[in-house]
Amino acid sequence: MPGSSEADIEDKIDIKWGNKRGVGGKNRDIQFYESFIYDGVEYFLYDCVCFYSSGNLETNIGKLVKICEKPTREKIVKVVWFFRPIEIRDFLGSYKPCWNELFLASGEGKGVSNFNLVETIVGKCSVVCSSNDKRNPEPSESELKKADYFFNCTFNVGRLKIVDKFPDEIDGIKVENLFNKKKDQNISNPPHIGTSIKQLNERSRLSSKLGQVVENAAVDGHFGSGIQPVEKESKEGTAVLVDKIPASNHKSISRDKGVIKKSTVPSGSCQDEDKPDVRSNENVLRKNVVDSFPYKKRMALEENSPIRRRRDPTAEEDFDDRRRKTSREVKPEIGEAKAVKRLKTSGKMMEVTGRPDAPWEDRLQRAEQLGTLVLLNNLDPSYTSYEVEDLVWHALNEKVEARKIEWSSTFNPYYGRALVIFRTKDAAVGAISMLSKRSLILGDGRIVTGMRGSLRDLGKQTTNFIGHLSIGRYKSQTKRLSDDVRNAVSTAHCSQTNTIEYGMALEWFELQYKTDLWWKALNEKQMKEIENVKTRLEGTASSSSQIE
Amino acid sequence: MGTSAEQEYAAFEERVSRTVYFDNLSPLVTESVLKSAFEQFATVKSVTLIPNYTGPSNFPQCALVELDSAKKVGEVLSMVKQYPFMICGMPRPVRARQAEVEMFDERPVKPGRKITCRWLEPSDPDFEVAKGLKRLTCKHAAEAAYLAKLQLGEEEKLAKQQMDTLKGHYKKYELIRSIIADGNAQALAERYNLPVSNKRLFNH
Repeated sequence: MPGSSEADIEDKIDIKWGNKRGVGGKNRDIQFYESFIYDGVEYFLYDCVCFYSSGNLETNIGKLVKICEKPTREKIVKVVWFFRPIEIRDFLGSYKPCWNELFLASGEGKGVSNFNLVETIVGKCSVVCSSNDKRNPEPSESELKKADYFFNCTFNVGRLKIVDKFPDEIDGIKVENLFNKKKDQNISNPPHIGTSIKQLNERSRLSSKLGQVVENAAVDGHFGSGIQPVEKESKEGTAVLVDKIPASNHKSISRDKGVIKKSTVPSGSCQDEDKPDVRSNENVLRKNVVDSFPYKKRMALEENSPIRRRRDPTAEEDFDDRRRKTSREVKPEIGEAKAVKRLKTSGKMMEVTGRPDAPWEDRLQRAEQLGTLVLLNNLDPSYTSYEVEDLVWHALNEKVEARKIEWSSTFNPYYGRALVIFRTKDAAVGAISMLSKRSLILGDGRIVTGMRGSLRDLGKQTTNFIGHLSIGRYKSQTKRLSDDVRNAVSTAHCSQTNTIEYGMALEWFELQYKTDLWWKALNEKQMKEIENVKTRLEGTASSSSQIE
Repeated sequence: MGTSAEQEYAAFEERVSRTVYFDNLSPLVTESVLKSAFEQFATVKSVTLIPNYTGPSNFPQCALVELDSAKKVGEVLSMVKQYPFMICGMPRPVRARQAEVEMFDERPVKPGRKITCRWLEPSDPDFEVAKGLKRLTCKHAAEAAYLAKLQLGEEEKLAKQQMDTLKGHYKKYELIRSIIADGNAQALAERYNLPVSNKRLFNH
């Protein structure tokens, strides 16, 4: 750091330190603190915080693990980072992250943590840990709902793997500190008067910045140039300082490693290409809704926010000018489809109050985590998912989302099953206990049972298939085949009688035939048992109510 | 529900009749793999992989492949039955059967069907029977899970056994290859005066 910047820093930043934690460094000249107030917001150790990253639409999110001031008066925070799914998309494997999921960095190597200037902080961010690790104070349902993001796994930067077990320490920080804060030390309300309103400024500032990018994208006609204003702004404004930070201070690890690919790379299993951007817009907009400040008022607040005052006036004018231009231009005719699409998405988001539907699988996993997932058994297998929803609505008075489980060769076809997502955990628990205390009998004498739904580990998909063999030097060949030319016809063929493969295939036929017989016998036995009990039912269909 | 619902359902049933259900599929199999695999025999209209949410994760994949006609379905079924058909690996063949309505996750409601239901209170004379049925449901689910496990075990056993056989063959061939390559076979043949030529050895 150049020493000359000292004075500037002193002038431009208003930081109030909280309690001192101690001193450190070689000359014992580094002061450590427990908290600080920056730009009207009080930050504590282990808070989750958003940081600028120049040229990037999305902010970087991390946990503050050290707060200190160097003898040069530089104010520095050490941050353990979170990864967004998009950043580690090449290493997700078959893990299907949720739209608001993050991964805590772990392991050893670049990217776990680094030091950053306090000035690069954008604002606070709520990230809840949903891990059922014993050391993690379990988050309440409302906390989970309110949170901007959640994390359940860590991403080990050394092994480049998603790990669901938390190590004892991450970068020397006890993992207890990285989990959710214990209730008693949870300081959700800013303790200083006037902080809250400033926090709103903070938020709207963030949103306007991100929003601006989107707007500019429309004005400039294409998205690439839309990013520039943010960079420019950060150069002229606050983050004169950002530029002074050596590149390594940014969270550029993943970039160094080539982890981040341009978003044009097909994302495969990860998510839609546009999703991350949409998500950030949506996030921001959701915050707007929470703030419920009308646009004008928000602008006024922004005008007063200290960070704006600090900025170079010409830049500010430029910025406002741009905005006025864009606000008039509601639907731009110009621009690439991409930009237009983005704008449209953001426009649409404004009207939406809830969050958009995540893919079914994500919702399913989330429901399992929240305990709102119920498995209904002994339904009529011919029911459709809608009919199951109707049935639950009629019998339990709950609006749910249902999905029938398809016929399977490894389950008695007499039993129809369905996965049902209730709106709340209480509703799900209530339904299960209702079904067990009383009995819901269907027209044909079936008794519906319900139990807490549990999914198999959807992320864990074994690629090694039992019965598909490969050997010796042919191994690499088959592997390459499966990776590269998956959709080549050569991967599928009828077996010829003069091969070893044919003989082995016949052995499989035999086994399949044998197991079919097993299932047939089991199903027959089960049907007999069912019939035996069912005949004892008396007035089944007599007074049933009908579902239209 | 008017006639349109009936029409929709009839169209759906027709689709079912044109569809083949496959299981014993490797997890590597994707929609495009299936499509290209059966494009050899018929026009593939659509492919749906059936997700496995509750079963064991090493269970084979299942899929529905919609063809252009019911006749083609019959042909594909008999072919897969007659010749072991491999997709994305060997030697475990895929298995096929005619699709049924229950195998589809999204399907129209059968027109004219009425669902009835009733709550049985503990005081109801049928309540005990109902409880018995509930127990049975749980028991049967457990039995199915157990049998599925057994089946997996059998499959693993067979795979291992085949792997060993394969390794044995492989070793043998490697041995033959090496003695031909280093000239030992030739030397021995000369030593014992056997009419073994390089050419013949290679041919076998």
